[in-house]
Amino acid sequence: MITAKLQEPLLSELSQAGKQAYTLRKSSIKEYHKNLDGKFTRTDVDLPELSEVEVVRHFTRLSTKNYGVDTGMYPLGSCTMKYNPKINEDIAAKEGLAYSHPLFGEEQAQGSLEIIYTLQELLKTITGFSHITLNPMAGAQAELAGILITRAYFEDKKEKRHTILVPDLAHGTNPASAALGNFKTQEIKCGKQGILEASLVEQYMTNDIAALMITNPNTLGLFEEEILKITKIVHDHGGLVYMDGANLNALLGITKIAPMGVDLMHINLHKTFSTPHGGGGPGAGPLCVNEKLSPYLPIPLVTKNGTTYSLITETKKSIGRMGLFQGNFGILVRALTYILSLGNENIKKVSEAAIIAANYIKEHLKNDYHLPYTKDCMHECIFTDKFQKENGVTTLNIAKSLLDYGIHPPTVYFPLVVSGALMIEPTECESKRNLDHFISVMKELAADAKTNPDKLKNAPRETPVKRVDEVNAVKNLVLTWKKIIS
Amino acid sequence: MKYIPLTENDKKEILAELGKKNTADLYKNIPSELILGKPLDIPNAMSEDELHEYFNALASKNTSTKDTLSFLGAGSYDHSIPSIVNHLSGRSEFYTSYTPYQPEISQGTLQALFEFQSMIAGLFSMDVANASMYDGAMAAAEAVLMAHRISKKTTVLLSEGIHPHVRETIKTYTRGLLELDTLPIHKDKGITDHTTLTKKLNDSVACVVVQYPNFFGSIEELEEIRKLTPHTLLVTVTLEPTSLGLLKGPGECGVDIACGEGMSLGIPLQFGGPYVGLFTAKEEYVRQMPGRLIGLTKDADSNRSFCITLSTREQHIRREKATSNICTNQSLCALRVAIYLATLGKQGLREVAQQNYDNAHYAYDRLTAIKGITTLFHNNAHFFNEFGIAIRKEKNELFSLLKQKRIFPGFICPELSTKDSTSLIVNVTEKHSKEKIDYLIETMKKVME
Repeated sequence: MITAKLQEPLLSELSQAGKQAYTLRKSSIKEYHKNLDGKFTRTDVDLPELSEVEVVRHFTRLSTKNYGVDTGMYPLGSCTMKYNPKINEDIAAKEGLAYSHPLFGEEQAQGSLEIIYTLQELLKTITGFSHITLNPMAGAQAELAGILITRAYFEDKKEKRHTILVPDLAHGTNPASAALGNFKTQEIKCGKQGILEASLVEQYMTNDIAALMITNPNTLGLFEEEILKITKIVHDHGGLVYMDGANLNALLGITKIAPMGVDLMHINLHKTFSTPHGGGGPGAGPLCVNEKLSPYLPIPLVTKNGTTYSLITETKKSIGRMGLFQGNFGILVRALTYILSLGNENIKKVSEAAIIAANYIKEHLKNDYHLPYTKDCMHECIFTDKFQKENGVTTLNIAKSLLDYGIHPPTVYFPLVVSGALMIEPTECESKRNLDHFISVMKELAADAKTNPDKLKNAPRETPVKRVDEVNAVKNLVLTWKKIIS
Repeated sequence: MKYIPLTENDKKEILAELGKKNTADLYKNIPSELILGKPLDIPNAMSEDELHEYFNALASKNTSTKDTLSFLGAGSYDHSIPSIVNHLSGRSEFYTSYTPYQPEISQGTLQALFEFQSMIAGLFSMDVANASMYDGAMAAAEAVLMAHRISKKTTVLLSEGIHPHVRETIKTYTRGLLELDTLPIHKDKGITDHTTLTKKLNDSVACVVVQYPNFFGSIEELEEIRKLTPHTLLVTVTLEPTSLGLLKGPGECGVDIACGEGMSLGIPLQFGGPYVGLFTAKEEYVRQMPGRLIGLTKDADSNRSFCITLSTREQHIRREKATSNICTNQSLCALRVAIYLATLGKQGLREVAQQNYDNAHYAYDRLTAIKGITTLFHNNAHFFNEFGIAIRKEKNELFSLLKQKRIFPGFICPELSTKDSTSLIVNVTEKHSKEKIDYLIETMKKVME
């Protein structure tokens, strides 16, 4: 679409005094506000003035500059950019759900509470845990909840433990959450096979380690084969095992999590359970725990007595409240819709198709791109730019070149332990035709890197803007339009 | 399965090509004792018709503001949402996109978030705003942590006029790190007691936190508080940002960090979420801010463009040294707020704020004229669209009668209720026409008088 390439003015530039894009009821109530003491009132509100059609065109034009899952393939590793079913949106918009006030009281919210309770039960079945909270509003907030539960658990046991063990493969949120919960972090390196080695965990385990945070499958797309040994070692030393469930899309119906010896795990509903990423949220991060950690779960809790659902807002040992109300309810509705759409007959097919697709890509690109870990992968595979670098072409160049083919790049330069990583997660939502297309484009880029490296270095060409200068953004910091004008 | 485009035949061909007998062959390195032998015990797949029927039945068990007369606020406000907010934010290029780490194909999200930051900073009269937090309570907790990072001090003075859920969230986020002390409410005025505030200030105080307008609807005297706290960081929490269409922005009053909840600006009630945390600060503190920031820059052809900036504060770069652990935020809700503010604009937001103020004061005048109903704060001349009343207890059948008529007169506040009276925080917005307010008054009058 041509509008994608045209520069869209800022709202402040489109603004013209006296325009309006709204209608309000004419009020017959006296103008009390005129009596409000001038020391409280402002003289001007710094907002633009536009007509309705101008607002509509502005945001519609902006949307054409965006790439979404509905636009095309989005193989972002560890982000699970799967299709966001349309019916999820319709269900969440139902009046009884979208216009329910969070403080109407239990009696007036039996439908909402039943939705939360039902999703809790389904996620417990899927993961094998006995307890869960759906309050955390994102994966990182669930991690923080998990870390605070870990603290509360050891305080209760009167044990002083100060350190969380975090593999070098972990997502950045893991060490950041540990630090936010006032723990030190100790990094632990993955082994030559790309997995965490039990013998190394044994060396690090002391009575100061409160928990190990592990992602399984890990961010190399490999199942942590020594998980049973690892969790036993941690438990033998009195520690807890936290699992980052970002990669749960590889495990649905294949394996349960709790029996791995995991004590706590979060799930990203906006990854595995199809709720939209929304350009960076809102998501939701349910946190599953086992029996012994259940007293510390954040409030409120949703329970069922007979046929009635209730909201428990006080428990003796809870770590407390994590937000205004009971989490991102609208996202929970979408995830429940998705699980019920899949049903028991399809849920395992999701993970199986995701695994097949990732291995298919891995097999077909292994001669064109350096594959640091050769064994079968789970739902994502990792390549590097080692071969291309010989011609001065980097992972960034490959990523930006994909944009010119209408494909969103894989996750790049992560995990940090793999130099120039390209982390590809096709998800279960791509047809064979699309997978083949992606493979052929990647092969073409590998060939171009040898014969015409400048083509890659100067990419992208076809996007709404050319390569964006991120360094300049930091150097000349402009975070509001007011700053431009002044 | 309609969401999985790979056919059985495709899978067979791929597996054969990979030299595998079946899919399980691809994950045979998973220890066998961890493999599930049987299908998960979850219900059978539902069709779209069945899903609608199932959720219609659940939705009908809920009360919604569409079929009741509700004066409930207390952190979640029922305002009019222009039709275009749903239509524009429902464009799938927006809602099916990822965090804009690839700016060349994310200019839509990035420019919209830059505009969101600009309008929120403007509304709060602050220098900078971030691209959103989870919600108002979590934003407040992060604001307190930021004040601690800046001041290196450990005592936090929290006004009792802050929503109890916000105070509880701050407690959760700061446990073991910071000391929280409360600033009581002046019993007559319904705002933070200035005398106690002055007494409690000392060298260990990291910040003073008040809600503006506060939980009881009263307008805190920010300029006064600023004068009393010249050497301490001042943090405000605004859960009802439509008030800023009428009231001075926190920045005008010298506030250092102003955060809040943005659901009033175009986001439906949805049983409490997803909402959107607003976070603004003075520019000098920008490097201590949590969350994403969108900055202006240029592309290789020197065309104006936008990208995520100052990422070195964030967890994906800085890991355990990041200013926060936040990754996913509430982008789509921020987009809704941007569309809402662009729609209402300078004049519209002012009118919304004025109508809220007028309607609430009309309801207040009429309610407190009813026998057996008194104001909660006798010297409280200044509130926005919420206010507290006390209802004599012997008339407690009032609440069941109102419920029968599907009227929710406000948020019952147990902490402020006494043995003789029930305390209610009443919220009135532009959605409450004079007729609706009059209906509430007449119904209450019949019982009370």
